[in-house]
Amino acid sequence: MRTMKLLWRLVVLGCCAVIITVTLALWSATGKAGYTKYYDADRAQRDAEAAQGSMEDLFADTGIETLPEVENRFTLGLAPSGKTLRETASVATIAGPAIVVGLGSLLSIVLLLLGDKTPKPTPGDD
Amino acid sequence: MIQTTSNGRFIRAIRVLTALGAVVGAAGVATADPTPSENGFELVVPEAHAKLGTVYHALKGQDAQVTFTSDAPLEYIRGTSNAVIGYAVVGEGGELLAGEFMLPIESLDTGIPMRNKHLQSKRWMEAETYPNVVFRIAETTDISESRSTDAFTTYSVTLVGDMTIKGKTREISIPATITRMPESEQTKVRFPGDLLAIRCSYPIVLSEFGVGVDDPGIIAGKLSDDLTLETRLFLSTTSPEEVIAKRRRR
Repeated sequence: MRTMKLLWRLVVLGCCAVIITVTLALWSATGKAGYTKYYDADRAQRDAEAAQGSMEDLFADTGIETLPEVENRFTLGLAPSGKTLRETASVATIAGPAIVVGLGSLLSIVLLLLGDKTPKPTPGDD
Repeated sequence: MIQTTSNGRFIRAIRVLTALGAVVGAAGVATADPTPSENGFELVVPEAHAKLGTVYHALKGQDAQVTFTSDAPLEYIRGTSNAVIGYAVVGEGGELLAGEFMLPIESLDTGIPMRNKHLQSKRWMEAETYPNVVFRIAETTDISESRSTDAFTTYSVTLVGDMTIKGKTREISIPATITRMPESEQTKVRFPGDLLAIRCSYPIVLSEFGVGVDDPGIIAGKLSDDLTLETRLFLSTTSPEEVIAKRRRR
């Protein structure tokens, strides 16, 4: 029974570690942003329409440099960027609960192992 | 006696209120936003400015015109706008003799709707009370022709003018590149009229304009007090209102 408990807690701890690692990996891979951002199809459409009347190529040879752009792509941020369900996805809201559950599992594993080491009463002790 | 004292106080109060009104009124005139045209595609050019030289109108709604960058320890923010309207009056030597440009705060897009709202809030830009950032050109100095071909002439200049952000006006000097391109078969296809491009990059200290002073966001390193503003404006001698009216008639 105690072995099963220990095994389950190790499985939970492992799952939490995977969730935390994958979340941090995704945060790092998508640009280590502060806030979660999604690809905005409407904005892409507006930009494409605006680009049709662009003067940029006319002035390309004049040495007038282009402006840096605001990226229109998905980034997983450290914090949520809004109140809608998809905007609440972030490192804090995904990895945060996993850290809490993981620490709880780790603590209970330690307590279980310490419980094993306490001397069992032997017949004749009293 | 009592009545006389009361009258004296009343007169003094009226004088103080009148003086306050004059100060507020003067401040209002000094920092009032320029007047947009009927459809909001350009600014109304005062007659005194129009007389000085050739008027070029900024073309909004196409290319990105302004980008701001905040490189703080905890967050990198970039926002952009293509809603700048305004005009520049250009002299023969490529100098900008006058000009006004207006950037609506609501048009600034950082890619995150919640952050855009924060930016417009009372805590930051207070867009309800101060809806626009305004730059007025006072003079152009250090003019030098840097490149010239049959199609265009480029000048390096320093623009000196007044920047108004959140109701506070400060004089700033901005190194800029200006390119004049006379109308040709090639340019006509995009927009009628002689064209002008203005490109500049300059720092702005937010606290100098009363933005985010002692704000926890700046103290915590989420937003930098020093922003970099990059501007690239395309302008034309043909009024955007006229072009849009013609297109509608078709």
